[in-house]
Amino acid sequence: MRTPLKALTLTALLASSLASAEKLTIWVVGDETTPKILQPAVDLYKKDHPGVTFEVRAVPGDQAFTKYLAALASRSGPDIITGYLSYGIEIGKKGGLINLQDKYPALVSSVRKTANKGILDSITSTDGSVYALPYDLTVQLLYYRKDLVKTPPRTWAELTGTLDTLKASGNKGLVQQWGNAGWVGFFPYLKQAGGNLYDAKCSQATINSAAGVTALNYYAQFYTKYKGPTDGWPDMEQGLENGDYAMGMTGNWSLQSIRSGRPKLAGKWGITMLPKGPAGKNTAFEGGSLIGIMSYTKVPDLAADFIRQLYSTRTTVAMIGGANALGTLWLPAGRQDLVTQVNLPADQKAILMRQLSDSDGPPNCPGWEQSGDAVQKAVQQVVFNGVSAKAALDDAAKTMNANLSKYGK
Amino acid sequence: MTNHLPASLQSAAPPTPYRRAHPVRRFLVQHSAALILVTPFLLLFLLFTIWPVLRSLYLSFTDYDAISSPSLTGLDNYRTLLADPRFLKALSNTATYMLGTALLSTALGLMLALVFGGQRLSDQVMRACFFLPSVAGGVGLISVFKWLFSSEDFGLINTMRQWLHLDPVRFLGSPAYAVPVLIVLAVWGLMGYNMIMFVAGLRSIPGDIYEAAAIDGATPAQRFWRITLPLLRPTLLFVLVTSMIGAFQEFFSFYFLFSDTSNVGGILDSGLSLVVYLYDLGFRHLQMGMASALAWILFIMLLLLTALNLKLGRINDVD
Repeated sequence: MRTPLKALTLTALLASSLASAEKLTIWVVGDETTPKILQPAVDLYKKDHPGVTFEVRAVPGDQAFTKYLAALASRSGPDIITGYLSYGIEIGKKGGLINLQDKYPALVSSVRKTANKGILDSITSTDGSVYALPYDLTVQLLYYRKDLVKTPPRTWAELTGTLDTLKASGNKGLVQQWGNAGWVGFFPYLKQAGGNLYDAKCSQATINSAAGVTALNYYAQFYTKYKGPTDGWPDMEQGLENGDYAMGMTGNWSLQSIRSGRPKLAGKWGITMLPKGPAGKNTAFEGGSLIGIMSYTKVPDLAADFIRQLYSTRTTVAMIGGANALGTLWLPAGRQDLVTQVNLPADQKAILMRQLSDSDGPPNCPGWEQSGDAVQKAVQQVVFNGVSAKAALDDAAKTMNANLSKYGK
Repeated sequence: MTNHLPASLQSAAPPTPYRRAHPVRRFLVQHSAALILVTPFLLLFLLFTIWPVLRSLYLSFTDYDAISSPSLTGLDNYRTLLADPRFLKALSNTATYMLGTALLSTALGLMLALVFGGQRLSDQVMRACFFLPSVAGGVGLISVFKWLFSSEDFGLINTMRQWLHLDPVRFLGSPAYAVPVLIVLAVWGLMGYNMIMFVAGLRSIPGDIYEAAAIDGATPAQRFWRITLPLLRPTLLFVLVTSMIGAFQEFFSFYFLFSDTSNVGGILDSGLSLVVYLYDLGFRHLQMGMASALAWILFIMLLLLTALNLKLGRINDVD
């Protein structure tokens, strides 16, 4: 009696230890929909690796950083995390994420071939370290009411011309949602004018260049001359639906939510690329999230293998399809070539692809995370306090350079 | 010298070893059952309250990013904070918010208590109406206010202004309105609660004092200033100081009304409070040492407010 019992206990212990060794815990940033978007990847991996079990959990965006830090401090929690673009370098440099470039160079090199370049640049550290890989992306687009704007603006001059026409006819002009009166809103104009936040080597801030001043002066007039709303996150979709605003600028998420949640707008709205600036570029800001492996994980190879599978055509297509079925729009940042699979009308898809080819993410320079507030302040000093663009940007550059020295060591 | 002890005690046995025991040991023996009962609480209290507090004091003197080990930097965090314009802006916003909220909610609470403090059904219904907002707090409520105060035509207040042919006001999009909007939101939620406190305070004032004053010819205003207000002073102080401390610690309304994905604090930090800045430093920028220093500065400020309360309370006792 005793021997079979011992054997049974031993087998159970062995089985449970094997099972725990083959378990992947994944925390994804977002609401309860986000684990569902990852589910097709989990299902496909489990099909190929029946011994592996998964625990996938959503972590609300505003709590993610804290929860990840707590996991790091206790060295227990997820093996894989997704997070906003700043998380990779920020957590990775402190030893919280595995440097994938060092440990899994083949994986990084393969993702480099298909990933969105702007996102990849944003998350590659200046010393070449890659602590996480692109997971999904979002990009700014210009939305407009077809009945109020007959020809969507293609250049800066056309945009202000359209705003003048709207103003003259008693209509309101442009509502900016993502990055309203802040650095994210200003960023595309800086790029479209040929400027940049830092030089290519991240050795100094260049935000106060002539292009920067031109961009900020142009951007500020949306608020000073054209009286755009300055609330932190105005309701662009409501503004477009009511006809209060003829144009709105925000991320691609509204492509899906307008279609499913704004039936009154059906047939009345369209999208276009951001208008071309003096440098001949239509650059939009792009954000998104990344995926990385926690440094304390006991199953790094398994985690890397799962991520490798995530970028296969089969898995990416399954995830896009899953998101489509959920009525949401998931753009794979690691497989920009497959973004065409998303469920959008052909004309919108074509514009989205064109905008993605001219978009850029936040800089990867040391100290940028600590400098964003200074750029925000510069933009707002011009808009709200009438400070000259040059003086405001000089101040921002001073802070950015100080942070470059402080955090670049 | 006469021995004044009663005979029964004089003939008592010599002191037992129990009596000679060390005071600490004696205490432990005497209260062993009670100590066993409170030990679980004490352990949890030490582990989850005292230890984190002491740890945060230590961290406030370090450079700590929550991942690497902390390194001692002395008073650097405190010096940096006191010279930091964002900290000073947060301090000024918090102080304005605290004063506005505490004074207005106290004054309005007292006014409501005087008007609706009676026992009639209508008074009870009105008290329930004014008390409801303090029950229905939370993030949902702040979201409703965000919609009410929207700068756009679909914001309720601006819609009403439009009916009156008034221009829309950028309540949430202008630095000048940030703190006033927060004060309105806080006072709306707090005045009903303060009203209940004052109703209780008013009922503790004996009615015969008023009767005597009325017989002596005191006017209602004189009765208010000479009787009601002085006798209500303990309640008044309690309400005022708890409102001030609550206002100092407010986080949600500042955060939800004036933060977005790339920034906390709103336009030019007009909606930045000390607690929100603490959150920003600690959990967005991983400057845990600096955040701990800010927490201790906040603690000292609240301690001073409490000391002020005690001092004013003592003045009241003397009176």
